Amino acid sequence: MKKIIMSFVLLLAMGGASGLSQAEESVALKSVDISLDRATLQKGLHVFTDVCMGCHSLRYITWKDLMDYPEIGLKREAVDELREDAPLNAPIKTSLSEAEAKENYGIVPPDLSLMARAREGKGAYIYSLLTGFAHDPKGRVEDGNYNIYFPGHRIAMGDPLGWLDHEPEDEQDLKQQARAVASFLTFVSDPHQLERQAIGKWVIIFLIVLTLVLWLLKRAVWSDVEH
Amino acid sequence: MIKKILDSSAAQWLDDRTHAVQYIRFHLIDYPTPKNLNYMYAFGSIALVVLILQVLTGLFLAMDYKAATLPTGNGFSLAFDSVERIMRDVNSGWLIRYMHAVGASAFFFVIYLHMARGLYYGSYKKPREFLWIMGVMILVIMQATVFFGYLLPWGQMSFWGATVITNIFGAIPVIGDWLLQLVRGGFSVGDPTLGRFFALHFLTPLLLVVVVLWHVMALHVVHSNNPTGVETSEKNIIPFHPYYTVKDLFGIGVFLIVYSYFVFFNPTGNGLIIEVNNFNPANPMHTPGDISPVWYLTPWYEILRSVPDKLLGIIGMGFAYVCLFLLPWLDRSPVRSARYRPVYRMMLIVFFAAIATLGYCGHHPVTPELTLVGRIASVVYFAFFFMLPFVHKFEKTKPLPEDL
Amino acid sequence: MTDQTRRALLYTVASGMGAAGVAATAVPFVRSIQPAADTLAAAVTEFDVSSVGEGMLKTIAWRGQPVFVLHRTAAMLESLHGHDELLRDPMSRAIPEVQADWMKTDEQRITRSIKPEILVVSAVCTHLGCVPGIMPTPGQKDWGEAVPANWPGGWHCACHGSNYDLSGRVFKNVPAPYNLFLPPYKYTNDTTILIG
Repeated sequence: MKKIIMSFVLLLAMGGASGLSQAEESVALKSVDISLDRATLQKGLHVFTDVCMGCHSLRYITWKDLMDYPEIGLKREAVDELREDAPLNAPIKTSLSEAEAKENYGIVPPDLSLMARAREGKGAYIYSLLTGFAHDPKGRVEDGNYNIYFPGHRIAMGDPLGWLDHEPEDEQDLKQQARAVASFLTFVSDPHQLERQAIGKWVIIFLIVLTLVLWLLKRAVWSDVEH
Repeated sequence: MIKKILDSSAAQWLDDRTHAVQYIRFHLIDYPTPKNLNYMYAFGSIALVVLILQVLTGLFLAMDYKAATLPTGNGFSLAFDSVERIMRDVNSGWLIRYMHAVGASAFFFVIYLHMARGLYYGSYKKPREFLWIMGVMILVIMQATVFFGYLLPWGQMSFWGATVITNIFGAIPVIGDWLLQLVRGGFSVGDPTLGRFFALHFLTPLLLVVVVLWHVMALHVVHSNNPTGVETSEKNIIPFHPYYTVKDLFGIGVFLIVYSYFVFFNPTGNGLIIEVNNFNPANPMHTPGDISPVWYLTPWYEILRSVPDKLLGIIGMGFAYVCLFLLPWLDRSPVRSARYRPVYRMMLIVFFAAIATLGYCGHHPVTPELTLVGRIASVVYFAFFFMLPFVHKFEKTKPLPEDL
Repeated sequence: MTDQTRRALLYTVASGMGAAGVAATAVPFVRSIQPAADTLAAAVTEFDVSSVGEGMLKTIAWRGQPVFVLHRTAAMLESLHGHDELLRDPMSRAIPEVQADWMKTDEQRITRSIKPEILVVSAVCTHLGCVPGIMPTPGQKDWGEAVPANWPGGWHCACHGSNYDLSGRVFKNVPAPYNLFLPPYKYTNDTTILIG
């Protein structure tokens, strides 16, 4: 039985290795330090409302959620300032209508509530995309619509942060904005993730202790059986 | 304490009227068990725990889930929205949903190990043929259940997975088209499909519970096999309680640690448990680039894909299940356990490797190399069953022990 | 420690922890069937009371249940006086649900409203939850035997015959035990109320 398990492990390791070599063929995403602390999330929120919200919505996040999720922890006054006329209980919606979007961009911009989970690479994908605008080396795609990390490289979204041909002294700031909004979108894609990990730690500690007790009990019960 | 409860007058009162206490004694307390069962034998009990968790979490999810594809704007649907509402607004909804999703994968992981143990120690052989058949039935019903369940979130993988799999029915000659429309309730996977799949996702677990009970009843008639595969004498038999209750509980504890790790720290299993693409709402106009079933279905999917003919591929996949059902009669060796069967043991290792390879290939997009590997693995899978009836003729088995 | 006591101790610890684990697991399940965040967030209703004309009644929804907004005329307000002996709880003191923080004076305990003419009151009969029908004119000429002869005007619940006056105060000798409940509300400006 042991040998069988061993050969299995070996086989799976081989499978895993060949899987890695496959992944390398696609463009590797930039690595980014996603952090869900309050300062980063609030900065990311403001990048979202200042830039992204021009076209994109967060259908699963309401203005009220910005105060109710302690990780974001906005004050009521700050929320009122951001939402303007929108009801407190309404989802965060762009003012761009679907018809206008189709006319200007050819497509309806996707909702961003789940974007950080719905693409391979998660937060790193969003960061890479925002800092991935470049000149098309073949000169076919016009500037502002060529992106290194977008599948097929032609993207309808036009360089929201102004990354293309940015001044060198702005680079740090743009990277910080991209990182903050990637972190914010990572948070809203699964808003209970920090709570989940905090609870999970205790659940696993409890289970380890319980399992240890069960192991001792098993040994004690089996002590009178020769085996 | 358990003894005290079972000896109480209340238990006696109940037993005089239903024999309930006798059943408990027979199946959970006195049930005679060989004393040399190793931890591989805990997976049966673990599977039962997972089944209970799935039924419970599923019940609570159903209270908030809405099986309707009604569009709610920007490509989203009522079903997709209701899942996100569970994840965000329902108190602890995220926990129950992740428990259910991780539980589906855990169930297959446990059942596959349980089956591997049965194969290794020859637990399918006479007199345990019916036990094995009920076990394979459980696997088939589980696969039907996850297939129905995976449609419910109405994400991209839900939609395209169901589209591809229901098309299998369309390949059947003559009645194919009619059958396909019958399954889908329309010309494509849509609102009627979602409604019936939700209903069936309730029905199949009910069947599962019945078959599981039958599986356990059969086990308790023919009794557990053991790693040596030989019949045990009275002196090596111990009662299930307390020996195997505590041993299985320890196994359940270890399982729950692994399970909780995934639920709390990696609920999508890096795309193996909940696929990345399923966080995109279903879009019938656009197929995602890389669609493959969830890992526990990929070996069978790969057999289907390996055959370059639609109908034959489906027959091949069906035949893969038929072989499993026929196993007790294909293997004619008088020796049960692979411990004493060097040839069978080698064959098993290759067989397991073939299934793992099939699973790996089925999970990845088609390339010429992977197709070739998948075909070889499919041939190996069937070769195992075709060779089994002849192995005993030349296999030199090791001497069996008299007793444990 | 002997093997026996050690085993007994381990049994106790294991079953105790096991029971605690099962109980802790039950918590999220019970929590999940309590009102969800979006349900609670939707439990606030805004309403413009100037849309209710004098002598008119509007029924609005709050938490999925009806609330009466009645714009009482001077005659209606007058009708609230002089029938205290018919009422079970004329000063609305029985339970917290029939009272409010802003009820300071006796007059407010009779009109049961922040602005005397605008009554905002739960439309759910305190007996078994039906919605009473309004019968605003006094006496039996418009309503027949359904109401007592000395009817001052009010609500009559057709389900089991409970009667309330135009402040939602319950009559004696009917099945309903309490006055109609007052939902928590406040004026956010001169004409807008926020319920909840």
